[in-house]
Amino acid sequence: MINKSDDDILELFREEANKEEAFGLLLKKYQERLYWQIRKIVISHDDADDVLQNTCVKIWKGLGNFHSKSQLFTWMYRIATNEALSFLKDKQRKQFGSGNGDLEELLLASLESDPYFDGDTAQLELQKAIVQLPEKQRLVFNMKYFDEMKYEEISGILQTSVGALKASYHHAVKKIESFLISREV
Amino acid sequence: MKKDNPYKVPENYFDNLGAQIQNKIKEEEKQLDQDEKKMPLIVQLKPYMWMAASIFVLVFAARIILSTSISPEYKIASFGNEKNQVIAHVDSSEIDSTEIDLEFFEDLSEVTSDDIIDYLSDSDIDTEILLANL
Repeated sequence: MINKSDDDILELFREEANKEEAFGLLLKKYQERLYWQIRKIVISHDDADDVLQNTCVKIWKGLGNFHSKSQLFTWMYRIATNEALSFLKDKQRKQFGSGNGDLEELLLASLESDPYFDGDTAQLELQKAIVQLPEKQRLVFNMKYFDEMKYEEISGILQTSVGALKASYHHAVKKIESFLISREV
Repeated sequence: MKKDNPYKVPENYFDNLGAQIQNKIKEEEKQLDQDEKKMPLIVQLKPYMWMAASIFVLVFAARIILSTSISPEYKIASFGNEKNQVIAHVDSSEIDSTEIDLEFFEDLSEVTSDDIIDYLSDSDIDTEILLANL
């Protein structure tokens, strides 16, 4: 299959008869990257699957009105990130009521009970260290360290300045180091 | 520290994902259509009810505006109607004064044109000025 450009897919999507075909091509191209962005935020595979499906429904509904002020992928990544964060907030509220309990506790439970985690002890400890980071630092660290994205790309998705992102990443690395040293890994 | 992704997905997960998502979208759209059809009658009629209310207000406002600028004959006719309505609604304690009013209107209908001319001749009113102003 020839890999169509985003503009070609968008053009195809705007023709009513080809809408489904175009969306199928878009999913094939980006579904895995969107999945991993969501999975690293919500941790559990089942939760990531739910959030990804809701994300794709939103993309389907909004794609007709998408005008390329930003890149298509940046726009989709932003929807996925927002959906994942809202999902976590809802889960937190359901679990702890209006008191808003500890998100870290919730994520650690997801990490330990997820049958689709296949890392060794060191990787598990690293994931535990990431889970205890504040939300923004956790997002930036995952995108920079694991996905090796450029600060400019992350800036477009999180709508934060590059300077602030660099500072967040630096703080995240320091906190992870201290966490791992304290656990003697 | 290893940089490998420690998270895994079920086997063939990504192979079926596209079809699953497309099915979910179709279900959502079907549900949306059904919800629109299932809308209670009152919600479906809402726009028409607003339209009817607006027309009623416009007609009511037009009546008020026209009644203030319409011909004297209309005013007299309206006054006659209003008087009858007032009579119909007064309680027994006010009947005497209403009867006096009625007698006044009945007496007035017996006045002839000659009586009026005589009255005007006896008064200090200049009939020429009066006619000129008609």
